[in-house]
Amino acid sequence: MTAPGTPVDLSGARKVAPFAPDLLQTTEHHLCSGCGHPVAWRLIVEVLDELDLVNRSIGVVGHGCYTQIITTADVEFFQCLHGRAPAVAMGMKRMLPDRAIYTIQGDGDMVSEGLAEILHVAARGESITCLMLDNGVFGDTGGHMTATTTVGQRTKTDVSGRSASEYGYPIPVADFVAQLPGVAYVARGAVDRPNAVARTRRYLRNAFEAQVAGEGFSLVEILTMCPTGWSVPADQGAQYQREQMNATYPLGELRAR
Amino acid sequence: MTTAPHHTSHAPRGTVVMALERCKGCGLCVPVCMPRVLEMTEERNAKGYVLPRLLDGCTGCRACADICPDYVFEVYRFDHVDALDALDADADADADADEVH
Amino acid sequence: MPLVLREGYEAMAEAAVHSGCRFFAGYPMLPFTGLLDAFTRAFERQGDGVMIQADTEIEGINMALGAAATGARAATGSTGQGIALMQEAVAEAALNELPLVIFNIGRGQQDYFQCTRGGGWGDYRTIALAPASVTEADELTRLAFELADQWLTPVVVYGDHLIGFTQMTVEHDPERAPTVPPDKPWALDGSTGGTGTSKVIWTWRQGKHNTPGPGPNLHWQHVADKYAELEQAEPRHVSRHLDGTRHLVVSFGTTGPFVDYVVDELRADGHPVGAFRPVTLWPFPSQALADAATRCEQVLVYELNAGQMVDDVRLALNGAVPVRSIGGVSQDESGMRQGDLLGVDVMRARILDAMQGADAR
Repeated sequence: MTAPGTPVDLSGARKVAPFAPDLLQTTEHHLCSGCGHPVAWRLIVEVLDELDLVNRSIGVVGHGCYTQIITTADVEFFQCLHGRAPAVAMGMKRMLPDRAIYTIQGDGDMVSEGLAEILHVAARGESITCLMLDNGVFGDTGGHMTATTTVGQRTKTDVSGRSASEYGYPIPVADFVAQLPGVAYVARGAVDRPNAVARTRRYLRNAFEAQVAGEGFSLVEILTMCPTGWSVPADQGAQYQREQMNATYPLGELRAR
Repeated sequence: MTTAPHHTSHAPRGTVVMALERCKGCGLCVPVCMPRVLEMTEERNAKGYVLPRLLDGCTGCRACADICPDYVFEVYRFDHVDALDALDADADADADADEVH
Repeated sequence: MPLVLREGYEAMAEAAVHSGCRFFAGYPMLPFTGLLDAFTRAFERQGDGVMIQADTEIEGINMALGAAATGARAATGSTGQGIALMQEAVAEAALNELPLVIFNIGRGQQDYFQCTRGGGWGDYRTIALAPASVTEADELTRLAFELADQWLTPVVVYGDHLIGFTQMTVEHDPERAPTVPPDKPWALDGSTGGTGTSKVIWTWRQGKHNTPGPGPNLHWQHVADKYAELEQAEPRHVSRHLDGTRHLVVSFGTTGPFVDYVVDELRADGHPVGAFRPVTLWPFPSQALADAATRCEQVLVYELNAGQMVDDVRLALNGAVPVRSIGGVSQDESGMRQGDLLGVDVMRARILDAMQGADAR
């Protein structure tokens, strides 16, 4: 710990960024050094607050490292079965059509286990918002390959990197969903650098606005760092993400409102 | 625990307050800091992680807060000079133009 | 009381809607599909209610879980094979303490284990109700929603195609007030967000940073304790000719009326035979069966499967009375319906044979 220093003189200063949104009951979490998920958590909670949805929304959260948000964010959550969040969210939305119902899922949850659910619910054009935190690994269970692991990406399944000949190719589910009629908005963001973070916040906002306006299904994929899963030092996570994930999954709005 | 910016000979444009007890030493803040005023030190917190230090020249751009997974940074700007605000606007415009792809 | 002619599917759907059910999701599969259609019509007649033909069974039950979490009376269903797909979600409902009614319109009687043991994870049970007729299917559908809300548990209603497709007269009181479901303070509607005490529904029940929960160990112990209490409180059965009976025939579901018919005949001929039918497959009416069999030479189990309920009969009797299976696997050529063993002639022959066999020993 650094020696206690002179308190910062903040007279004449205005705060432009708090430590964390008030909606997070604690800033402590057990995610790894350099993990991108907590950045995404912060954006989700900030957007719910900005859009005045805090007491009018329910999050349906799958299984992964990101699940811990259900113990820290002061909004209502339903922790559901791996992959099934879009179906659960659809059932909720039908009974509570004037609430914002959204999912938070990892890539393993949404694209491996839950591929049928995301495609079916998107095709139905349900006005729910699905969020995928994509790092190309099953982080919570040890770092194995998922259906979105990019070619060449290191995971526990193969630390030499995914080879297409052995494991096939990743599934860009956001690109598929963007083509379906009844889908109102699809975007892919990332949290590896501040301007990507800023764009991702706007994408999240657009997605929730689309739901509130009843325009149809919305999906935001957020590429997040997992240095532990990728076997890189924490301070190289952002660079590795750009080389592997951002390079495979183009960022931006795949289906604009 | 907070750290103070070093003594500076001209009025600072911004500063940060850092909750270093929860820092996990990932180092992501260092390369994103646009004025390059964050550097990792050899100091460690109770969890054993190495910690960043703020040098002179913070502009309060909040890039560190945006990227930090552990919510270590609280960012402030000093509003005393209009010209400095204009400089801030230029810096933000540069950031928006920065290509991500 | 006025009588109306109702097909079983319609009776169940109408009873559900009258009980306040406003969400149904399922996937077509025979002979369950008739119930899917009946719910569509019932919701249309009611004027509200969400009916979703899901794209998979797994999606159907998970949609119903979502609806149940909002406090709605929700149901799903399938046939045994489809219920098999839903098992993870059934366990999830139980361990989340969510009320949910699951209709298994079976192809026979081969899903007894599925109804009573389940294929989900963890320490959970489901109430399982086995109607024998259209009339009972109406009653037990209503009971299912009541018990689900009262005990915060999934409830299986195990019918079959005979019930679904048969038309029978049922009493219908047009003045009967629809059930008003109870308040559900645990349900989600978003409104506790930002209050510092926002809700979370989670099988681990660890709660949130500000409002910690009991955690998985204590929560799952609580669920187990609840099912132990339920097991004592809710067994149901029907019986006939218990007085002086020496040979007790146990059956469930639509086999029951056939057994009753044969037992009535045999009694009229002087045979000391009686019938016992669990209405709740779980909780199994163990004490009632043990009492009914006290002075019996043997208990005969007539079920159309390789021997499933017989396990619970043996557990209930605890070695006090010999138990014999006199049914067996029996499907028709299509595999979709009960076969030749569901017939009074073969039943009579087997019961007589079993009684003579006992006499000879």
